[in-house]
Amino acid sequence: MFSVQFHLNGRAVAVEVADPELPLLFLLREYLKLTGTKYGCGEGVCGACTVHLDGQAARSCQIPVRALAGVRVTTIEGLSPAGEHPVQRAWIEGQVPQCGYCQPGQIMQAAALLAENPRPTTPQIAAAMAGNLCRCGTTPRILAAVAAAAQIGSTERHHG
Amino acid sequence: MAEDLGRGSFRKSRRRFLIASGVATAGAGTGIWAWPEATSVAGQRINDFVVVAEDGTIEVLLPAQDLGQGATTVLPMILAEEIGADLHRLRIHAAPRDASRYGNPAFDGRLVTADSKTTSGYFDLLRRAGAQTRLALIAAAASSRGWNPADCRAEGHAVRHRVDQTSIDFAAIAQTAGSLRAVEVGGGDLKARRDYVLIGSSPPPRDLRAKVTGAFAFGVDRRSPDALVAMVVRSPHLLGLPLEVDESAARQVADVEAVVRLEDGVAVVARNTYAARKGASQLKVQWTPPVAFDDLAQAQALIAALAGADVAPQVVAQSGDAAAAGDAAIVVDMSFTTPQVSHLALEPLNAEARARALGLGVAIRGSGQSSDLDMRYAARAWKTAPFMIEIHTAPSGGAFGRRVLNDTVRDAATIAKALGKPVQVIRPLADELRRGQVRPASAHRIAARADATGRLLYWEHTCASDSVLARQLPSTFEAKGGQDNTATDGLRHPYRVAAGEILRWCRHESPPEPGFLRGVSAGTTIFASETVVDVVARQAGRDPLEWRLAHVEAQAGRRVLERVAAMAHWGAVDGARRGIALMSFRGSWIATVATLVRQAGEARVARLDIAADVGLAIHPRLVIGQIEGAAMFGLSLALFEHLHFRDGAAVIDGVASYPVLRADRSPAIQVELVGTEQGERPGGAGEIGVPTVAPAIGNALATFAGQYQTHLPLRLGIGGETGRAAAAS
Ligand code: FES
Ligand code: FES
Repeated sequence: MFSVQFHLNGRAVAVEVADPELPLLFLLREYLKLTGTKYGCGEGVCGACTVHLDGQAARSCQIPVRALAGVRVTTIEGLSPAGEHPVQRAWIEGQVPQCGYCQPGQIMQAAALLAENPRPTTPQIAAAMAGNLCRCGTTPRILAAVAAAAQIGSTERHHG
Repeated sequence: MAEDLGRGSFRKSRRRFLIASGVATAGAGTGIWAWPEATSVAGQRINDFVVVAEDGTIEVLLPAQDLGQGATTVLPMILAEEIGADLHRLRIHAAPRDASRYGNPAFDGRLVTADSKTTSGYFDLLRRAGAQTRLALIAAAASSRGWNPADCRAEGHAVRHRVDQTSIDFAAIAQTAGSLRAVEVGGGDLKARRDYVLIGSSPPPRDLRAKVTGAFAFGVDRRSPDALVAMVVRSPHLLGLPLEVDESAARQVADVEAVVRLEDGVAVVARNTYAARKGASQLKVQWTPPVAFDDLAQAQALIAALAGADVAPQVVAQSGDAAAAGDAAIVVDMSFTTPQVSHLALEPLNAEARARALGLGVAIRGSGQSSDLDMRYAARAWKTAPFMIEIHTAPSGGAFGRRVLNDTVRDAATIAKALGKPVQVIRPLADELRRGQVRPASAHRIAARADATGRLLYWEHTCASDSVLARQLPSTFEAKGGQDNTATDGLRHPYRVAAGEILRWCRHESPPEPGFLRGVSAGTTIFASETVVDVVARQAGRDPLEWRLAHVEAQAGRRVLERVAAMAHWGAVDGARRGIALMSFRGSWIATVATLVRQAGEARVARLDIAADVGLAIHPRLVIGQIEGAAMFGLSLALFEHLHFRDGAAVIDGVASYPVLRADRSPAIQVELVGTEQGERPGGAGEIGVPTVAPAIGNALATFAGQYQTHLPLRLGIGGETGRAAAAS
């Protein structure tokens, strides 16, 4: 048995798994029952499984459990307690999702971008979101919503 | 057998009835053979679609699936509008699998959510069901207050008396058992178009919040706690079958429970997805030898098929007379080919199967588009009768036609039966690319003639492709007299032809498994026809927009052309190049302008402008989202997608081998709806955005290169090396 301790959505967790190569994606979905992180390609190509590791966007299907020691992991369930992160609010305002499958990953990617770069340019947004596939074609609304979230974020920083 | 309980068992007054449910709570399957079989809806039943609960909630039995297109928002809006109900006080349940009551009238009465036919197909049924509910509520309110029903109307979830201005909430009306009686409704009972308040507005779609918080659960997310996971290994080669299997290494993998041999593959069954995947990678299988098949041979065979090499071409439509075209000043004769493409829905195909009725039947839960066809797969695999099958459809993470024929249902039922345990089959995206369904490759030849002014005299379009219906649903194919509309959709163009025309299709069978893909054959036929009309216009020295306007009679067609021209600044002299395409499809009209700019020896698609007339738009923002999304899909098909085959196998190392459109290549896009104020009925909106994108871009590219491309995907290079075929002149 392999055991590891890390932080998940603000709480310390300790897990024991048989195989240290188990990808974080499956640890989240099947052991910890957090199915908001989606299983798409499983190959690091689609971005559906995006989470934050120490605040940075990462593809959880490519992260083995053994690499998690001491890491702060944030999933879509932990992004904001009430689903009120500026990115989520912009997504709701923009009526972005269609099927919704890619959206948790898109939102995590966008939130990581804005944490690092609160005022991204349009090309910076497009570049940052290029690894997150949306087969329903919500990309135009995603790009607009990221820009809107940046606005919301900056207004809030100024007012409080 | 929940669906049998539903049928004909309603008594007149208040009662509870059971429905087979796709919304039953997940995870209740604690006992090995237990499944939440049915959900009950309490209240007064008005008709097949509506039950009014005691607290006034309108319980809706919804026959369509959520694929992301908004069916769970739009269909309830139609009901709520007619009833005068508050959208928030509707509760949605999956309708029983009973095609006689819930089948889509626009889809031969089948339970299929596809073909852009959901809103248009159910519109009349739901309006009538809603009007019937409203009349029942008004009658009950009037009789309890001594009002004249003619003085009452229903709005805001209450019945209001026009004269004394008081109202009764639906809850107060529904509290009295047996108060609601359904009466026959006629056309005059339906709400007038001008009185719509909800239809035409864009409230937040259902499940919007759940979709941004990760709470929304799809088929793969809904595996029962006691179910195992299976992945099926198939030959990388088309039509390959297993000969020898060495399963020892796979069985060594921790948490692998079983290896099950199927007719055409080998399933590794495990306690979790990771173990199933790892086990699958450890299988050593010897397969039957590959068939000879590759892209080039395929294209050549299709071109030969056009000339009648396989079967005599089938005439789809014919009018007038070729000879009457006489000596034409302009003669265009062009051939086109398009490759196989894949759906690449992000959620892996999935289905869970679980024995029921002491193992005599099976219950299926998966992300799907058709409970009818899921049932067929299950019945065949379980070797049982349709009434022994229960289907619980989960929301899909993208569908695009792929889940109409969800063959993982067959795999899941076969494996669950072999093991005597509930099993969820998950098919990894790369496996689907290798051996899954494709939009068949196609070839086209169009011969067009026009006089010196460009007036179209004669049109002949022959296409060749495999047939999804013939391969997948042979009995339907036969019932339609050997015709396959999914291979010939889009052959009909909207232009006036003076002398005569003929449209033909030749079936050419090909090893990849054909499937329905968003836009079906219109995704290829429109590319060919909209390219050729552009060539005709240019050869006559006419502006392609003006030529189209001169050849289209329908008002709606002219309106979308004029609108899109204004949106895209057609004719502007600004260094950008523009191409246009028009289509009438699924009862709607759409015109697209692609604007291209030159950038480092390449053309770049800078923007897409789209004007569409979809008739009545129930929820305009969802409609625009559908068109926008489909246009992105069409753009991806136009520029990137080609499932290559070599030596009998798809050239796929992983998902990255199949390039698709990504955010850094997405152009600006603007979609406008025209004619929706006058629209009385909804037209199709889910697919129309796909087909016009490729020809609009191709026609813009030709203005750089002087040559029209005749193969998809299009190449954006504009440094000399361009279109491989020029129009004959
Ligand atoms: S599932 Fe991880 S990138 Fe696709
Ligand atoms: S919303 Fe369906 S894949 Fe993005």
